[in-house]
Amino acid sequence: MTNFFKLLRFELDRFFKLYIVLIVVTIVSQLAGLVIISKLYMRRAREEIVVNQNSMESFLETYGQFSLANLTHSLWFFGPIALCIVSLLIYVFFIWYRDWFGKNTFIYRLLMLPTERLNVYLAKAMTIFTMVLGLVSLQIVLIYLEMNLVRLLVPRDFRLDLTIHEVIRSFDYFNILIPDSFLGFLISYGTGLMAVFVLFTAILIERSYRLKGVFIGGLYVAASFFVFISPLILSEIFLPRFFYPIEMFLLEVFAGLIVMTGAIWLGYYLLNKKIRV
Amino acid sequence: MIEVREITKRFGRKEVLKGVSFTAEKGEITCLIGVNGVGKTTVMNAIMNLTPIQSGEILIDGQKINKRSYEKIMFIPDAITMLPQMTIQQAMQFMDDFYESWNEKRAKELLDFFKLEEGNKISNLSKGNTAKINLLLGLALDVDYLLMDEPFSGIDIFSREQIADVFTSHLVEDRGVIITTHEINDIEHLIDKVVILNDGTVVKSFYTEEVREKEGKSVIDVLREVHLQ
Amino acid sequence: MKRYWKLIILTAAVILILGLFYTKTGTANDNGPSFTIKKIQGNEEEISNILLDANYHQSRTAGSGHSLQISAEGTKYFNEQSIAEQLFGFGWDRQIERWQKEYRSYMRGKWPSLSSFFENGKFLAYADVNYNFTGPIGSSRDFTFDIDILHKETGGRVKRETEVPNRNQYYSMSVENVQVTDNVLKVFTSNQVEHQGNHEIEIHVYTFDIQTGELLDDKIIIEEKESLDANQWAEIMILNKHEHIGEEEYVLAKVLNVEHVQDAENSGDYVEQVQQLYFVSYNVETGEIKQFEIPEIKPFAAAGISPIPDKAQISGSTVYFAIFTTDGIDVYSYSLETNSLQGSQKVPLEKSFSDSPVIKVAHERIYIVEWINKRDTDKSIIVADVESGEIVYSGRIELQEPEAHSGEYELYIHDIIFN
Repeated sequence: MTNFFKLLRFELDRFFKLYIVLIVVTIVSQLAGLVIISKLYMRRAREEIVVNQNSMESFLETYGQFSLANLTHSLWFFGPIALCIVSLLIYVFFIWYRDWFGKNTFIYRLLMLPTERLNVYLAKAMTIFTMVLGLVSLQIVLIYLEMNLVRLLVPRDFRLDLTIHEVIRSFDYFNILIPDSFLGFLISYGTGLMAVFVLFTAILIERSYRLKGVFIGGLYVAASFFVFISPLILSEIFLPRFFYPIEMFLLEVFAGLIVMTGAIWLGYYLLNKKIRV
Repeated sequence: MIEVREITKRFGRKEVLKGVSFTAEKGEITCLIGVNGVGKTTVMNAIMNLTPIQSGEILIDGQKINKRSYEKIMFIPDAITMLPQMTIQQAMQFMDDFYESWNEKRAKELLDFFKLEEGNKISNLSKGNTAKINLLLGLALDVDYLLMDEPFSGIDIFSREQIADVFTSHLVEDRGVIITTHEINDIEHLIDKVVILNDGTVVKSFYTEEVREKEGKSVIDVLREVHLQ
Repeated sequence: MKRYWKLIILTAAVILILGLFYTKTGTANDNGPSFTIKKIQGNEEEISNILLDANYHQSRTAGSGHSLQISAEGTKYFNEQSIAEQLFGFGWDRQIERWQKEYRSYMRGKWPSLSSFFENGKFLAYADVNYNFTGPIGSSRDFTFDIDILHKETGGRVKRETEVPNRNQYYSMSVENVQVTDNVLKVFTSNQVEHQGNHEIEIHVYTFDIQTGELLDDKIIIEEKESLDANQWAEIMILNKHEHIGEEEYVLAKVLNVEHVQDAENSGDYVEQVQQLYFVSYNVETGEIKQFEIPEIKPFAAAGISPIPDKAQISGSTVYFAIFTTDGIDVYSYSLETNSLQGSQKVPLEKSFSDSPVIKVAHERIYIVEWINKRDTDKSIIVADVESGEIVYSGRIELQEPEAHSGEYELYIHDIIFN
């Protein structure tokens, strides 16, 4: 095993307990949520139809059919997703700062490993990335589970079966997390990975220059963002509609690659020449 | 040989090192002495490329430090460099994973010598035992040079004695060692060479044996002279 | 290896799940159901050239729905477009897409608005008005014509930027139509004039030399004052369809003068009252301007009748007006040559049609499409002959594979497009 994989494994182990907690919370909340809101829906249906003597049609008219959209619009569903997103966002910072702060100073150990220091950087980034993809995969599996579970919970006449893409689209912004196409997936997560690298490098700038570094790091993030959207600026302000969509797309990919390479290169430089314990 | 040549280091406007030069040979124990805050730790960090220097250069056996150097030179800071949630065994496993120079036999030997249990968690260890583990993780590497930052500070007398014993044993013998301290008393008899740091420069460096034999002075005598000047 | 199980399991699960998800679930048919236009009676040829711009909403699922186009052949969803087009596309118009393919470099930098384009066998012409923000909103702007004429045979281009004459007077300008005739390019614009607190709307015809792109003439064909103090304003609408990018014999404008008056009967609320309705026709070739009223086309009509006759189609020198009434749609044909009403026809409509169907008159036919379609909508398309009023086609928008798509839906039709 190369040192990169050893570090990746090591970083993964360090967050694994919390990661398992996130996974369990997501599973429990979404499945329990589905059971609870479908039971509530069916109880209301019984009340309206049996007790209030309304027809099934009028009930469906008022309350609509039950579908997984009922679940995706509830806190049961997006609560844990938000929790996972926030946790991992915080972890982007924590994965570095934990090594500097506290009684132990693990950063000494990491920087004195007989391997490229960049491996530490890349392993941390891949840890975040792998965990994100793990949660996305979990969510896909959960949706399939929920699609089957809802069939057991709600009778056919009350139920609207959605396809997996309809479920995903029923929840705002979920398309960004689980895009329809593989290319869309590459775009979402390519951009995400780029953002992680930029934040990592900004953190290393702060760690190298401390108080001054907060300012420089902020400028660096702004500059990266500017480079990333520069094709859009170019197209909007200077050459409106000059570039066709496919050309804009390629320019954006190119800009993204520049930002990513820049972040990794700068990270490499800082780790080798400027970093302080 | 570790060569430190004219290194300067600023923290903001404050110049901490104003051109520090000295050498440390293999097979010798070199002691960096100075009051607290004089920049001893900074010199160590600079040698290990853990902090950037403004000018000067540091060579290890004639080469600038690179990733392979860490198989040859190891730094033992005054705080433990392993995660507190790890057991001693896991910490040793970590070293084994990453360092080719990790010597499992020597590690076991040190473990016995210090009377430590592999299954103990680092966070549960006493201050003295933590220092011993820290030392163990460095000493069990087959490296040529060892840097130790205040290995005796803040620990009990028995642990100190145990650690001091290590210095005279075969565990250290052929290696080059640089240690820093602000109290010379405990280790005066162990060290071969003294480098006195003051106000960002090396004010005096000498071999202990030389001053003892030729001038009949102890290290403390020399220190006192330097301070009175 | 044993210590790597977490990493191995996690990576394997991610690759397996995402791999399966992106290979097994087809994305094309998962947008939503397919629809086709199904004949109830008549000749299917009648609808072979139409496309319906639609939006599909599934009840209970949120979001803005999905854009699609429905034709006799089937359905195309907007997000079947490439990702690049979805992210950076400028619109979804087949005509413009066709030009972008055929005249790739010519079409660069052009605002994708059909009213800025003209095409015939010889030329593809474009005219737009650009400006930079130079002062606060409402102040005059540096309006500039951007003319670009492509000679199809030679591939030669006449590209020229020209200052709009008297541009300091205008605070807004928009291109309404572009025509090419007899070696000149005529650009019809609507200009908003700000003049000492009074507003004016002017329709201009700017004439350019097709060989040099030089501005030859600026003529005002309609001028209407507005007074905000007196609560009076004007509305001028060019009735020529913007999607008709070929030659027109006439350019026809409808002019409304509207006043905000207090309604004594209704608790003193302000209501809009049309004071005047007239038409202005411009003969593209001769430049002759005629202003006239059509007594049969009234600004107000009896209850239930659409008061604003903007569903019009100009075909050569004849203009057809379609007016929605309680029992159907009245189609008037009017000659712009003789300025006389040629006739009127009634197309009967079932009660099931809602009161604002999409109506288009084209190719001597009137097309009427129900704008909101549900699972149980029975009849939603009617095509009738404008001369005789005879219904030549009726049909419905039919859901394909209804058993695979349970549940209620709403299908909104925005527009009828002709291929």
